[in-house]
Amino acid sequence: MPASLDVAVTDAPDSIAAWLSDRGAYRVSERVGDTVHLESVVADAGPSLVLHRVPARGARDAIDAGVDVLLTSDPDAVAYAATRPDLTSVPSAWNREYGLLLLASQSSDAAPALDTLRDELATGAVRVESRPVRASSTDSCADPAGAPTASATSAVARARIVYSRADDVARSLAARLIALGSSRRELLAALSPSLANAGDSLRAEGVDPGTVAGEVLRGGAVAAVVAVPRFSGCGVLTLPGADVPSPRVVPLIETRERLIARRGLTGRALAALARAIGDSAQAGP
Amino acid sequence: MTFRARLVTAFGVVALVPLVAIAFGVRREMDQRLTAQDTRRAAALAAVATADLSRRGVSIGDRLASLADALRDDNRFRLAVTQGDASERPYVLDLAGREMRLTGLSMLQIQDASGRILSSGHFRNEYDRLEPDLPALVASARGAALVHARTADGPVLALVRVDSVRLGGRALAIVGGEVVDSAFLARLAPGDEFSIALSLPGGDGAGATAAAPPDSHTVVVSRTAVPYIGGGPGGSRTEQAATLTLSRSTAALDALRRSVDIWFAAAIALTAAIALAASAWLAARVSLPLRELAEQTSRVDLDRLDVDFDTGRDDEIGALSRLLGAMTRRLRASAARERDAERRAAVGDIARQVNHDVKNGLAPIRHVLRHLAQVERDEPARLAAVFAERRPTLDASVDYLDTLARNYARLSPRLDVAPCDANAIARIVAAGASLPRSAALVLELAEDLPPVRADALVLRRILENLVTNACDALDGRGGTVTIGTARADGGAQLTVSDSGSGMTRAQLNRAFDDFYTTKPGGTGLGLSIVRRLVADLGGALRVDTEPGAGTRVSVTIPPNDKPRAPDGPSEQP
Repeated sequence: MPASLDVAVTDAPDSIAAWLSDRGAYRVSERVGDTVHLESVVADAGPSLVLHRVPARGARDAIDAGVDVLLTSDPDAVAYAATRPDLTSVPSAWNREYGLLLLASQSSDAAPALDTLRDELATGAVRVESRPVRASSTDSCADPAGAPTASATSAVARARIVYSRADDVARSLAARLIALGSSRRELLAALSPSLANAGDSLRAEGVDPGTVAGEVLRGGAVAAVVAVPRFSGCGVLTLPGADVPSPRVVPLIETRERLIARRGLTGRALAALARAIGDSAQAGP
Repeated sequence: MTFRARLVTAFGVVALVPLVAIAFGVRREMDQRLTAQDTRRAAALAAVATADLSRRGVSIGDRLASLADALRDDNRFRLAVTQGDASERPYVLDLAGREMRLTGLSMLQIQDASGRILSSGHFRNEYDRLEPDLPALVASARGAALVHARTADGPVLALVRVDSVRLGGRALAIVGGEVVDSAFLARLAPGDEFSIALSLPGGDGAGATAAAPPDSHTVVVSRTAVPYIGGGPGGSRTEQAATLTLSRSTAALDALRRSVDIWFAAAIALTAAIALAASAWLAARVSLPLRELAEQTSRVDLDRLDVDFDTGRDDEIGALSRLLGAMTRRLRASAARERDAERRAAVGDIARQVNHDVKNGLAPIRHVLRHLAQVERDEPARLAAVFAERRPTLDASVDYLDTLARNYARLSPRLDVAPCDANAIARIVAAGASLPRSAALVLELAEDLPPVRADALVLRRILENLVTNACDALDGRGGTVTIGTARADGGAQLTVSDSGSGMTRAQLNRAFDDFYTTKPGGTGLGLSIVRRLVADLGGALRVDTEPGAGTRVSVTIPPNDKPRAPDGPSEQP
């Protein structure tokens, strides 16, 4: 078993490292620039990992360049790896949850429509592996004070849904919500009456990652698509401003990534890594 | 207006009017030609822009046709559409985006027969939305049409065409095109000076592209109607017409006009300055000699005929100077001749006056001598007594002639003023008067007459001349000549009157002129001499006369201490 595995990631290495650390198998041993070194918590439980980032559109090039392991959600890379007999692909656990941050109240009888909306979003809106959120913990974590009432801020909010311009999944979800605003408005009504009322005037707009939630809180947007890493505890959602109504995050879908590795690594190393990142239901030790 | 001002004005007019006329003519001709050229060029470029728009529509159609061919050969797409293969759904959803990028389009959506969007390139997640009217409306436009397509970021205007493909009996519509934004319009604009604006029904418009925003220099070159499928997502669509307006900035042409105007204005100003300077120089060259000539001419009079008009100029002013010089020389010669004639006349006058005065002085002597000769012949014994009696007359006449001679010797007699007895002088004159035989001389002398301060000789000459004239006025007939004296305002008044023929008004007016006489053999100097002598004494002369009623001449001598300023004689007919 190699002493360390060179793992290319298309997401932020810090985010992946934090997720892996949260899962308990690894801990961060060193950070050098955009490269993160992880070591196994349990001796001989697996190789240490060196995470370095590759461009999202360069995942296939990384494969062709002979990287040991690639952790990505890019469907084109996954499809490409499937055509390569020397590569194997293992899904990770559902490690990211997307929700809609808004201030408006949610209809109490909207659960069926909300499920329909989640199904709708999970089946075509995004290009990564996704599934609708069912019994998510995020909504209960993100709104400890309960659902806020519609505030004056939300009444004058601009008819737009913002997302992080660095997140393709969030952009796709926002775009689909915009599209549904004219074709299936009842689904948006399950989220928020103000969203449904905006209808055709609703726009999607990418903003800086650090300002997504702030746009909603200051009335710059009626809603924001936010991504919350799935940790063992509650999702971490840092919202600025203590004097504003508590926002509500309506979970929509969750996504996961794929571990693409060369078949030559099959064995204890890959098994250990797959066990570390994989869903216990799918990739056991 | 001075000659210089006239010259400057004339010069300015002569120089500026033609230049201004040329400037306006050239400006007008240039403006017309440039405008016509510019209009033709703009029209040609507008046609190019319209053709370019049309070519873009054709190009979109070509690319959609190619895409339709590609879709027929795409088995995965065929499976998804005809067999409903759910595994190929992501492929279908991403298909339009992929093909849109490949074909260079910026709007593409594939719809099934019901109008449901299967795949959208410009708005991937718009799938499953129904838009059944759009393909038919675009097809009815028979070319490219403008539509508002929805995207996640908001609606965009696109120039689209429609094509179709049949897969397994299922008709699919392919609606695709290019987004019409400011960049699109900028590419249509044939040049930097052109701008294109798109006006949609209802006031909605696309951005205009221009080198500069529309201003007073912007003119509309052409307006082209473009089919526009109004309405949009969520609303019914209808075919309308949008207007593509091509505008052109005339700033360059206007700048050229301004530049030409500035150059013309500068040329006119320069010409005006040169004309003014040249005319001022020329005026100075002409008017200065003329002014000098005028000053020289102003100095010319009969006493100053020595003005030099000599000049070296060979122009008109030189000719005028020479003419004036010649005229002055002629005047000088004429004046010399006139002075010579005057001198001769004066000499003659003096000779006649001397002759007259000598005759007057000799007359008493002649009378005395005639009397003595008569006494010697008739009464020789009384000769000594008569001689003694008449000797004062002889002595007085001799003294008179002596004084006269001395005065004439001086040419300009000077008065020998002293108190004198006017009555005594009157008596002497009366004694020497040559009266006609039947006439009588009467003396009316004031006894209390004070001495008169005058030159006795002058006083005697005055009275002698007046008495002589009075005697002559009797015309040899009988009558009376009266010599009178009287006090007058502190002075004395001497009067000589006759009962002769008197004078008419005309005769009186000329009576004191030199050499005017109505008597045969008269000198015409008597009264003129009297006038001058009275004036020398500072006295006054008055004549009262009437034809047939005689003449009375009064001479007033001012008092001793108050000499009167000489004044002209006054006549009373």
